[in-house]
Amino acid sequence: MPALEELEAAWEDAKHDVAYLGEIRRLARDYVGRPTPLYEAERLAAEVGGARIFLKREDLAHTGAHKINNAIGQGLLAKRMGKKRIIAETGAGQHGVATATVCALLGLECIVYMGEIDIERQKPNVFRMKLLGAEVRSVSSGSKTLKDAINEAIRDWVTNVDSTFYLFGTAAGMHPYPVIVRDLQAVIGREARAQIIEKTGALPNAVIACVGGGSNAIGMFYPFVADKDVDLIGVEAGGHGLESGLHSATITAGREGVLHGSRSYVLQDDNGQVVETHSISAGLDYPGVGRSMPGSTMPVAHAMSRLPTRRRWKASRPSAAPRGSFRRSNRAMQLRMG
Amino acid sequence: MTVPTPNARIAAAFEKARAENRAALMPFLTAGYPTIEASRDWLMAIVAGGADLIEIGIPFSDPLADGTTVQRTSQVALENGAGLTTAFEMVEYARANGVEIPIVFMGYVNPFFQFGIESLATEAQRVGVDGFIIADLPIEESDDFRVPLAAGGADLIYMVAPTTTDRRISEVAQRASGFIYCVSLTGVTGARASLADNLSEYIGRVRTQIDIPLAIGFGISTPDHVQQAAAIGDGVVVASAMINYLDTLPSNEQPAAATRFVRELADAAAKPGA
Repeated sequence: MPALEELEAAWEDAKHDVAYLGEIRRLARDYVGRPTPLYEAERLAAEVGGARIFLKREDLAHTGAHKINNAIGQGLLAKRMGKKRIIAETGAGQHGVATATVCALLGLECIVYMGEIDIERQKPNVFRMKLLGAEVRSVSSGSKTLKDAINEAIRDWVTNVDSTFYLFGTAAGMHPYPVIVRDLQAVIGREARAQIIEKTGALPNAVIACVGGGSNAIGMFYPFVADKDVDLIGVEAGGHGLESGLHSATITAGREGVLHGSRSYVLQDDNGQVVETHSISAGLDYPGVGRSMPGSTMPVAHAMSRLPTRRRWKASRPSAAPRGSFRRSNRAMQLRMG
Repeated sequence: MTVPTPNARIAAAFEKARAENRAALMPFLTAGYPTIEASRDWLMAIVAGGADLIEIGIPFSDPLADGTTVQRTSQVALENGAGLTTAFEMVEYARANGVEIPIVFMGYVNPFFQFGIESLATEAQRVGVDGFIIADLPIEESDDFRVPLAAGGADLIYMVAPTTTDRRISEVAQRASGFIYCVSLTGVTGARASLADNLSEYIGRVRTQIDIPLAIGFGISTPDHVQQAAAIGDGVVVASAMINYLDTLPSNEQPAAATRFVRELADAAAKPGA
């Protein structure tokens, strides 16, 4: 707890520090390659119909995912706090690669906890982390995936709290991480909002993001929160279908619970034991979800609509409807933010 | 702030140990480990060895404050189908068989939260659970548990660690009843080769603000450790070391070995000069 208070105080201080923010901006531009493009996928729109579709190309950021936005901000924060040892958890390995990259950039020691099963199915990312000088520690407890890697990272942190900064990867977990990660990822939405206005002269009808722990979703949504006419739609991983129990649809199928120091939706059994998740995308299988509270007392979870599976997505798609009805047709399944 | 009504059994146990010039010994076992039946036998064996209090671990899928031993016992217990209900049944059995010492549950928020806080307090009162240690419950959220539990006669036991600031210790002091669980080191549960160097200074710092008993736990593994901890604390928790030892034995020998192990530790819990 004292470590979290120290982190919160450091963040409150850093986020008003012109030099710190300037360094993030410089690295975002010169190292990450921001702004990432907003690309209109015309052929996709022609195929599926219903709307003009724009893709915010976070995959073109250095290391191949939005995770680097957060890793750079937290890495610089660690340096500012005088912490030289960085630990992180990773599921698919994208956050691990981003963290290893930032540690190599900033000259920090890097230890990444990764579930044994994830190490096996994400070998290329394990290789990349090692190439970047990180130590990858295999976690064989529990379900041997992301949540267990987080458990092990927390155990490391409480043991080595003086020297160590925990570079947490998603907008879930203990306060102040959901706030820090949201603020560092909000660059996605800020850029996208300016870019869509530049390209179309208007705000979009809807902003859609996939939700695992929720970092890219909250990063994308947050700058649109005040835009009451823009629907914010989160899509969760349906896995083999909700009825199969093998999915990662935490908001849709989870219940309120406490996991990793955060009270939010959790995929769990009747006894409060956290259950294993499944998704073909290793990056989405986290049994909890972030509960950032942008300008309201409502967790962001409530702001995300319930469109968890491909089946429902297709069923709700108005194939040849005019622009605008896309939003209305989904309204029944959406809960507006704010 | 509501003034807690302390649980009578816990208060009496520490008072008895104090009167006998020793620290109260509180062994730990996991509900449902190594099997549901055997954990009940272990419980009775630990009582027979002379434990002053008993701590029953509630298995959880994500025991992030625990080291390898309790991670393993939790996982095995869950595979055995054990949970909070198992622990309540153990207490019911113990009380039916004449066990009078305080029994405290240690676990993580979510299983308690899903059981329902009011139901937890009611069931604790019904079967005779005297206190709850909730490893991932921050002080800021603790009143949600403390107040209903106190209404049912159970103490919410607060944890402090060497990194806990004086300001937070004072927040604990305003709320705590029963005893304080002083984590001996910065880290997770598990057997260790030696105690932390600064233990005495740290316990002294807690003592300046808190006047209820202080129990020391995490890493206390040998009679020698117990003796050192007993010299500075009012209570001593032994967990992983006993489980590790029992695990080396055939299951039919474990209960008798548990009794011997606890007796040896209880002998070591005498205060210096006693």
